[in-house]
Amino acid sequence: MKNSIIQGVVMIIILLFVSSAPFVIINSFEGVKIEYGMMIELVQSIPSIDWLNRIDAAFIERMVRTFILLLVAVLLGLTFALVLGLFVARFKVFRLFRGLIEVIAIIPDFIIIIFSVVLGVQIYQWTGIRVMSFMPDKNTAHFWFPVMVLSIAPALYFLKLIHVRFLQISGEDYVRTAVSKGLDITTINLQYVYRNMQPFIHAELTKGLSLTIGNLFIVEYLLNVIGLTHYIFAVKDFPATLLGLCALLIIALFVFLIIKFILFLFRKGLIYE
Amino acid sequence: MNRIRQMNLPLYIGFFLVLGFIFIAVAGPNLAIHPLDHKVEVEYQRIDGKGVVVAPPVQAFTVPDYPLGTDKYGYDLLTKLLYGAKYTIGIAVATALLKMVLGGVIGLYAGSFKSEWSFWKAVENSVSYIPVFLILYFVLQPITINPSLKSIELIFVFIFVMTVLSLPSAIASVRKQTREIVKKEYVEVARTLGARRNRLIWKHIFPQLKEGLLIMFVMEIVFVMTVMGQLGIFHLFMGGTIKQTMPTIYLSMTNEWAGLIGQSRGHIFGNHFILMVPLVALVLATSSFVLLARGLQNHFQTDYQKAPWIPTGRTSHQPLPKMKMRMGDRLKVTPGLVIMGVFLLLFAVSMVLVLGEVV
Repeated sequence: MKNSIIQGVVMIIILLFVSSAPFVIINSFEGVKIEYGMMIELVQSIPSIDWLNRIDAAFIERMVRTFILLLVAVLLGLTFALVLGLFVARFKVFRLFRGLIEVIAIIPDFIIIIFSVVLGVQIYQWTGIRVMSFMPDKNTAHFWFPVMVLSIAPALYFLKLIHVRFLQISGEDYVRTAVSKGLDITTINLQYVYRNMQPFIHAELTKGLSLTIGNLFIVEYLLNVIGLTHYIFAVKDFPATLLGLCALLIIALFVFLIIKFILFLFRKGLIYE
Repeated sequence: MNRIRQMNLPLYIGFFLVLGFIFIAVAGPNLAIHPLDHKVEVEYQRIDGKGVVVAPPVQAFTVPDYPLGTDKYGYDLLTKLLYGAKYTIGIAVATALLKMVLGGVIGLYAGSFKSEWSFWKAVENSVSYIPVFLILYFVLQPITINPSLKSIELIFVFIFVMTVLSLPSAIASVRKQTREIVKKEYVEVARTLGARRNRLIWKHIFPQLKEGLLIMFVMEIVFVMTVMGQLGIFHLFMGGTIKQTMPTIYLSMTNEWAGLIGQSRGHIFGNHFILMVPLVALVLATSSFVLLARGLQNHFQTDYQKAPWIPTGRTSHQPLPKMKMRMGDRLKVTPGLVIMGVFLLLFAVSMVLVLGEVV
């Protein structure tokens, strides 16, 4: 509890520092100056800002859009990683697919995003089929493309970790016992391997989410998705930046809790206690 | 065939490619065919007996004088890559080195203490949740575009801020590994025999960690390049961004590779090669370091993994014993060492030839 409070306080301090940095670090012909007094002034102005006025319908719509994008992308990535890294890992045909993914995983995430966008443009030039749109009002019709592109990073991250863990757990003695008792492979994968992998997935969920949020900025920027990150970069003032970052933090927390809840439901529904 | 499968190919290929990129970073300007300010105007050339009008942007692999083509202003892309390589590789290596040295030393000492500071652990966790690129963006954004600082000063600022932001994660990683080793009996024995902290750390703990730290160092280089690329997407280029208006264009002051990607972002829709050339160069650079890290992991790893009891899609095979040749009384040489020695020799000879302006 104490650690969570300290973590929360440190994160808020970082957000305050990050939001005020563009107004505190001044670049002029005379050089770079850091206005420490400005930072204190900005922090002291927080109570006097009309926050409710800023949280209007347009802001809520942005929040919802970013929330859906983040939630679906992380869920897709995690599902893909679990299926390919654990449940169908035993089939040799998927071994080739995993090998291909390992090669793709070498490429940095933002380059994969750029390649995806270029591929989308090329598909339109070759076939006339529009797979994505950069127009803000037409975004919703092609929302699946930013979701797919954003889900690549968490999918690669979780797949690598889950598959390594799968190989470790599959050599354990309790798995040997299950095999000797004649249990079928699907039951072993679900009841023994997945069950022992759960704590590991929960521990890595925050890192995966952090990685996805980093890519969220790039996806929303490149694909012109009118979400929270667009708000943070477009409205260049201290209250907007702070509000945007805090809203993003809250969204990340909600996404984390929802995914944990879904994993909980999966465990309660399919895993024997 | 089995011997080839058993060879640590990622290590040899990664090592060769990394040496290649270091060579390009150091000797790049000497290798460039054109000077940096050389600009293609409209000209008429005879290529393969045919008369061709050469005008910017020159497509890649069409004109021998400009093998990778030119950008829309007529500047040779290969020349830009060769001049910018030193910034890309140099900044990444310097940042990773600084981070690993500081993080390693602090982590080693922090891990050797019996008690852990819960406050510091909470700080480490908080910093790890926030993407580093986000903090860097807001700190660098005011000073990078049309900067008043010199390029080298901006690079130092980036290295400093990047190191400070990613130091907690390096310290955490080294600290956790140190704490595992401190629990071992031989460390306890050394402590009982009167070994002080410094001796314990440098004679008993550090030798167990040095391979892992080397792999971490290589992966950190990749991480720094990735962050540089992410900042480049948002027009924050290493060494400074020149922003011109009407029309709004962003230009890299140092031609660093992530900057070339960022300034060519508009070519997603057409003339893709202007974006693809620096993109593929950065992919090859990061891939070579990743391959090297994987190769080092394969080389240092002692595989205690138990054989799986269920099908996992992998064919298991026993590793063949390593071939070793004895040279003289003491020196044992493996084929891998010979291969890497040849690569190093090629690298040294090439550097001498190019920097000595023999070639």
